[in-house]
Amino acid sequence: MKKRPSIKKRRTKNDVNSGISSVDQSNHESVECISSSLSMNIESIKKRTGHSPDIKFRKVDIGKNSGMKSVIVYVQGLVDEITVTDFIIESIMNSPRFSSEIMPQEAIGIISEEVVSMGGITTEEKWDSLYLSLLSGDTVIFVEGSNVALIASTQGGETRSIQESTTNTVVRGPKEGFTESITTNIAMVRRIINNPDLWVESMKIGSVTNTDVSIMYINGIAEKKIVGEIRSRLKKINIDSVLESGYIEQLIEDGTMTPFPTLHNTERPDVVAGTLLEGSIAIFVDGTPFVLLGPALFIQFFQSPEDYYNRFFIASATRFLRIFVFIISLIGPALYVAVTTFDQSMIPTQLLIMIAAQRESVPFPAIVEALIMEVMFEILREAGLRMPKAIGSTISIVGALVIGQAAVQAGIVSPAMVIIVSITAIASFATPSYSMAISARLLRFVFMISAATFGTYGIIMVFILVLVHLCSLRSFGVPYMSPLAPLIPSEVGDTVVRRPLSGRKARPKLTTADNKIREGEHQKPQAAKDTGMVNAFYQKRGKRGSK
Amino acid sequence: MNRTIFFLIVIGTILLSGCWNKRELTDIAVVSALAIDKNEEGKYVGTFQVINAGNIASGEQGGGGENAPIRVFSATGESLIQMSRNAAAKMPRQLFYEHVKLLVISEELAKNEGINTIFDSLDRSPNFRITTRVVLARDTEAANVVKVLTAIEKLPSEGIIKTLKSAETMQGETVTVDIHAIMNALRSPGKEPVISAFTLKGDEKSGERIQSIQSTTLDANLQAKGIGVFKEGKLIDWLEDDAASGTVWALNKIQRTVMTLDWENEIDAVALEVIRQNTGVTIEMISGKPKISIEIRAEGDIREVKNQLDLSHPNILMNIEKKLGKKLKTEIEDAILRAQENKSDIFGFGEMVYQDYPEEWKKIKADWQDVHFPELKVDVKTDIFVRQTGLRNKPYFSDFE
Repeated sequence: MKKRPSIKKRRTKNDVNSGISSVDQSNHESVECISSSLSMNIESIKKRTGHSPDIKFRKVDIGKNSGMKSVIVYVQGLVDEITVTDFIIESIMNSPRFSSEIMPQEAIGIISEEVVSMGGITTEEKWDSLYLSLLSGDTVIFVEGSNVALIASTQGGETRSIQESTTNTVVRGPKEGFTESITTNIAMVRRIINNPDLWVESMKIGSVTNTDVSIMYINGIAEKKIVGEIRSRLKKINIDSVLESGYIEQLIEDGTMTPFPTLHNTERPDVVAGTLLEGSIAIFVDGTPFVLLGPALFIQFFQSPEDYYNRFFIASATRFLRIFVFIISLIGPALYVAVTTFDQSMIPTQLLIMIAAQRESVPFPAIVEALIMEVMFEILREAGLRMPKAIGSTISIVGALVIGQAAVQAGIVSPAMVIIVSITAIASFATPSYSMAISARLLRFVFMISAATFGTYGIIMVFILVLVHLCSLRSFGVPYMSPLAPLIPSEVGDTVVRRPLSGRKARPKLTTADNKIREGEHQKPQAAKDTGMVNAFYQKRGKRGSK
Repeated sequence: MNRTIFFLIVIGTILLSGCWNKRELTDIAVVSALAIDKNEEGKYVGTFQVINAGNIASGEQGGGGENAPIRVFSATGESLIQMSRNAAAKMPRQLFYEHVKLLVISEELAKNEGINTIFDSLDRSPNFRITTRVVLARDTEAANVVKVLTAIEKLPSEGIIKTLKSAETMQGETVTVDIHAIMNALRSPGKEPVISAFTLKGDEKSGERIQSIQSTTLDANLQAKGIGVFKEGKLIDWLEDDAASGTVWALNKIQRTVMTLDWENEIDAVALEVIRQNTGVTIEMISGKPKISIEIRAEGDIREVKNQLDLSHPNILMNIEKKLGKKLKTEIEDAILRAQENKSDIFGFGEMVYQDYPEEWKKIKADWQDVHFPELKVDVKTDIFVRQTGLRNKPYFSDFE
């Protein structure tokens, strides 16, 4: 609880230091509104933006012979330049609608209503919002003599196209993943949920970056109180910048003192859609393909979209496997340490002898050996992430040789330990959610140390502590471990196992509002009673047979 | 503030308390078998078979096979615990008893002193597993049994247990018992324990050397030999061959054995491999005296025929069944008679009486072994069924004439 204000304080200090806000302040007070003089407006923008060359000013005469002048301002790269030339500059220049009698104020109206054939066009008098629009890719049109500016939405420019998501890949299911553009991302979800009840609210967060943040929910399904809570938490954020949704996540989560993520994130529109249908709220942040989903439950981090696309036997089996594997990645090395140093009587004799023979020449106690190997693996993993791709293979060869071969041959570690560390490493990648996998990575060391001090008893102790901690967590007021704790029997069917879709009658109770029914009655598939669907020959034979 | 202090205390206890009961694998000596003898001074002599891990698992370190997989040493003491303390003084590592697979007790010790004191110590020990198998050393010192190296199984104790098990299932003349079963029998007034015995054939000195298992024939070989019968914790008799087999039948521990039958002057002409059997024991009270009826139903395949028997003929098969049944009946009756002569209820009939007639049992409990069991009427019924005759009916040589 103490952490948050201190962060805020530091951020505001940065603001002052950078000098941005001081300029901001002076401008605010002196000229708040647009002047009617073109040159003054141009000058004002140039001064405010520090003569940045990517802000383009295009002087255009209105009509062929009206004698009125206008300036079109846009930021190069943020706008779709073809739209600006074709639909704004050209139509204003060539419009026959203007004559010398027309007053500047009228001209504004004519341009927006009759000349520019574009979708979004609004008027603006205040500098503040004008800058926001300009810098987010809109085009501003000033007319000589008018203190109102037109803003045409021309957002465009280069963005990454929709590609397959890299973090949540599936075999079956849609392949597309979110991009860095918030409008594209929102549209991708809209394309899946074709319903007017899909509501989006927008806001700008970050006193310097002015990042677009949107929340999306399904009206009637999402619990109003939770929506309100998320909205107010977002509004409370006062920070200079939002560079990724992680910023938002860390500022709105229920508590910071936990290794477990209390907000889900995904790169996949189908996951967002599926979670929205269970009453969650999605938070989109411009500039990142990772969309936040809250309230998040512990079990959600083990759900893969594929669970719902595959038939339930397979889905249940893989779900079960994932939870089992998560436990391995948590306590794998710890169990090895505990069993070999405390509870040797738990191992079958033959196995004990094998392990003992391998450890005969290892100079370290089991825990030190385990820590060496785990740290070594963490180093390799971190290095593998950071290094340039071109030398990746070098590192992996060196790593494999150092960890796998040389360390064993040098007698520094035992082969059994290598097996344990590798299975743990592989296990940690089987968790669908990266943020849950890395929390297991951290807790693993806690388990190892307690195992080295108290043996299996220590593992159980820490396990209980972690369980108690998990049960105490809340995500936007919703118990983190629900529907297991508190137990909601009707929803347990989508936790460790996933029951058939035909049995999924209602939405989760804790997170949904009025609209709770998911499916109608009699959804269980049934075999056809008559054979009318098969071909006539078979039918005839069947009839004769029955006689 | 209080929370911080509390937290520090918790952290402190975790980090400063040291490592309770921590034993690295390189600090323990895994004892795989323990032999108990008694020397002339009346002291226990324990022979510890310690696994030499580096020599068993042929891993990266090489080794494996060049040196003996076990190291044997002995220690004496007035009591078992004393003996174990004395042994610790001879080992660089802590003796680790949790993996003791085999306990060998010498014949002399079992006969003269009995096994009660030994088992009290084992029962009390938190380290000994009650699943540890127990055998007797017959005609040799117990120490020799754990000193000998075995072929095929690298770990001699494992070898002995597997031999015992395979003898039990394939031959049916031994029983595999563990500490738990013996403790139960010792405790109960209505049951006496039986323990299988091992003997050493060959030169015991050369059996200890690694060279002995480098050749195709072994200089010293361990062999299961008979079942020891106990009374009041002391060894009183050995059961062998038919007596042993009948006992194992009556104990319902037969799994797969071979029964043979003489036929028209040919000895062991027909061999039946028993594939499943069930021994049911029922008790009746007739005028205050229990009467036992044993009913055995066995089923098997004919696996060997020396005569020209036409096994496709049902009469012949039924005849075989009847004769085999009769043979089995006498075998079991002899075994029971022998037990009655020994006045040792190794079958646990007393226990069954206790379970079915607890009131009557109270009256006869005190002198069950000496008075009531020897006078017990036992009725044995056998029913043998030939399921198959192997892959053919008539022997192939029956067409030769």
